[in-house]
Amino acid sequence: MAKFILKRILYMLVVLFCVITLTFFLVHSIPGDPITSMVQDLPIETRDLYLQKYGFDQPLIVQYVKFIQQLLTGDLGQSLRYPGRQVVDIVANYAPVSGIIGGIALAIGFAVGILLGIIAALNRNRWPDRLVMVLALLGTTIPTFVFAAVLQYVFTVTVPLFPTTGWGTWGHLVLPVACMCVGPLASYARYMRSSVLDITNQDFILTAEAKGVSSFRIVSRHIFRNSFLPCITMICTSIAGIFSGSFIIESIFAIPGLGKYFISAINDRDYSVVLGLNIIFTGTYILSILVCDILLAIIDPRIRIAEEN
Amino acid sequence: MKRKLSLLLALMMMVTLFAGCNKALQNPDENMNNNNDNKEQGQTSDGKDTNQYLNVYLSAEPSVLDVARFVGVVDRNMFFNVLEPLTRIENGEVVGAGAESWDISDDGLTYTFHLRENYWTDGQKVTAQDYITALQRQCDPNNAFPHVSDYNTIENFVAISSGEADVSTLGASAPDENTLVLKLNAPNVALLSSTDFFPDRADIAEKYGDTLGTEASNMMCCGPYTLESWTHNSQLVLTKNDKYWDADSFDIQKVTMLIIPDSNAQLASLENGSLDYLGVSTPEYVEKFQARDDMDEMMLSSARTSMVIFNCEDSVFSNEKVRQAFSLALDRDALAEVITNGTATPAYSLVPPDCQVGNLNFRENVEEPLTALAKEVDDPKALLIEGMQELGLGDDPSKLTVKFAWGATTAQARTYSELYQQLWQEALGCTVELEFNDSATHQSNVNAGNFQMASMSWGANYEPQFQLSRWSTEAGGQSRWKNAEYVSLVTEASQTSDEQKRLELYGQAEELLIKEAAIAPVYFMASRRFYYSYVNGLNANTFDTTSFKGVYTSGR
Repeated sequence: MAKFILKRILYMLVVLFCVITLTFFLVHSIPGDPITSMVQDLPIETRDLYLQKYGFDQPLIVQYVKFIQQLLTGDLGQSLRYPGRQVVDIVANYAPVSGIIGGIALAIGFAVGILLGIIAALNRNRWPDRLVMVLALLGTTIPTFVFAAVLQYVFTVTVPLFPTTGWGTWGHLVLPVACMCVGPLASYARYMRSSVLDITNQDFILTAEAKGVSSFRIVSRHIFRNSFLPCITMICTSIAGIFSGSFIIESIFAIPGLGKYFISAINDRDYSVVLGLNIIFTGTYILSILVCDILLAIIDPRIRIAEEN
Repeated sequence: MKRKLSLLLALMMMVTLFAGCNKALQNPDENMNNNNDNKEQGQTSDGKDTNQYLNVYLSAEPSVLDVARFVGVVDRNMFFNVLEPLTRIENGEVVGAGAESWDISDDGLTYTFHLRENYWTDGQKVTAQDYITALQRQCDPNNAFPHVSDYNTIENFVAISSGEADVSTLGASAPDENTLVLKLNAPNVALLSSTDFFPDRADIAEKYGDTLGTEASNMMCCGPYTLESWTHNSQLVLTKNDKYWDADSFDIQKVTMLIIPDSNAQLASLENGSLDYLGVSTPEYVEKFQARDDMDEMMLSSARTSMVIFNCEDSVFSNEKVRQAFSLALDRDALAEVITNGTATPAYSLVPPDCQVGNLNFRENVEEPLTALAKEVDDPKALLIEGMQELGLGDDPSKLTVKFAWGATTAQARTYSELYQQLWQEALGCTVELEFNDSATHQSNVNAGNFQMASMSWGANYEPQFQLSRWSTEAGGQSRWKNAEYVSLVTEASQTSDEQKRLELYGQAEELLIKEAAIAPVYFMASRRFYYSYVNGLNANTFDTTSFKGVYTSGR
């Protein structure tokens, strides 16, 4: 097991390094520079001074080596668009905000989605199944921004129940969470449905039925447990994704999360923020895949044995 | 056993997730909820509400509230609320603010400001040294101050910022704590109206270092308001500064500034009263708000000129007649009507109607040069053919293909630029190709001269000098239009204190720029502001930097 984990961690580091290198050169290859996107028309001397201060006047490869050296000391640098803000602080302050909305939305989406999926599968081709599948289809196809705009208008203008925008009270959470849980809810429902149907057709269910096991026991002990396994893979990667936030939802509801920072950093050519956030997102994502692999290896001995051979 | 372990691990992941989240939710201050303000509302005898507050819209997150490192116009505007500049513009006139009065030497090179008695929120007096500190930090090469401005005329400011001179040689001194003396390299008529001279505390700058002005707690205020809280990317709350020298003269006690990036969310916020006023351009919403009894509207000039920039170093657009033809071929009425829904005014000149030359309004005294040019030229197409022949490109415009670059990639940008394309192609018979880039790429292409025609807009300052000097640089501005006469006119104007003479010089410069068609002005931008009728005293003077002075609510 230790060897398995060690190998995985090694892979992880290689992937992370490749992503960092690739992002660095990609970001610097976009036309434009931070100073041009901030201030329209500067005299050449002023611009040169600025570029000099941040070392952008040096050859790209020198900048890259410096960046890696800095990274090894754990320093992700400072934002260019927002002077004085450390990238590490930006993550520490705003990842939890994205996390809370994404986390609640994922939890609701996961729980309700799984439940609806089971109900749909057990009532296959009857009205509950059709209803759930139509709703799931709508949930996956309606774009978030449409859904968010409608919810915002209905619940803040027509029937003013919740604050329009902002952050700070539980009331501010309701609409963004509602918008964000629709997607996962729909996909978990569809995923769980097919997974349950798959298991229901297995021989061991037939055996259980033949032995006279009660149908409640069949569902709860045999079907649910087995069909739940593939969902672990999905939830692990989704958890990593929630901290990166949603640009659309954060913009519409003016939520101080990470998603907005990330997108605007690209538009602003804020190199250090784009790189720093990307390293962190990639890191958490890879880490969650590792956790997922370990979990699956623990649960399912077949994987472990296959890996060890 | 292993199953239980895995379950435990999964559970732990969820628990740590929510533990972190709960902290995040508690973090922002309680003032987030605007409804807190809606306590029992009474009125004083003069009809003003007893509880004076405003909820306003802020277009973007401020970058950093440090006078030596700030980035954009949002930051600059915030300084007028929380700091006290030497001068402000009130109802279109320059008035004393941090300075009570000033003397200008006869040669226009020495400005002596006599400061007013004003205090920082920690009780310390605002001194002349504080204003010098700001200038010293702005020219410190380590701060890489990304602006070019009227500071540049202060003695040695440029030399210090490029590391060629020591900061002690800066032309700013304080004979005593209430007197500030600025020495200039050359006379600068825009010095007082630029109103950008803010005070800055050396001890505070040293205390917070890099984090100065990144949080509400990491700065010191001395303006009409203090920054009470700053929830990044969400909102800022200003509360009235009772220590401010002019605190008795204005009513609004608290201003909540909401940062709302999404336009639908902005409109919904105005509609349900979360915002007290907002600029609206969406036609459906304009109609909707006009129909409401509890709202009024006002037109606000943006003091900004939307234009097409020609690259005068390009093989085709190096020809003046070609540029003139392209400028004259635009139907500015149609463009203003379609693109801005009729809020903008068609422009036949560079300088918008808001600009002043001392007490004289520029536009009222100077005719728009393009109107005269249009009278001279009957047919832009014939002019284009003449230009093409001069260039040796033949006499068939249908063989000419040019490119028009646009600095946005939205669906709107496509519709609008297609209108330009259509107008040019119909009037001139040539082919116009369109190119779309995001704003940063567009800017860098234009600055590098990598374009033929580009869409652009330039804001104006109080004095026309600011806009006009964009084309008097060594490179000839973004148009790469090098004209020695123009440069000398603009330079002479900015050193001429006589208003009538200065106005004439500006006028001659503008005429050159427009008639030689370095740019084609298209329209003067404006916005339509809707506000609830209980808001009184909103200012329509574009250049005013009066914070929320003069505004009050009545009958909220």
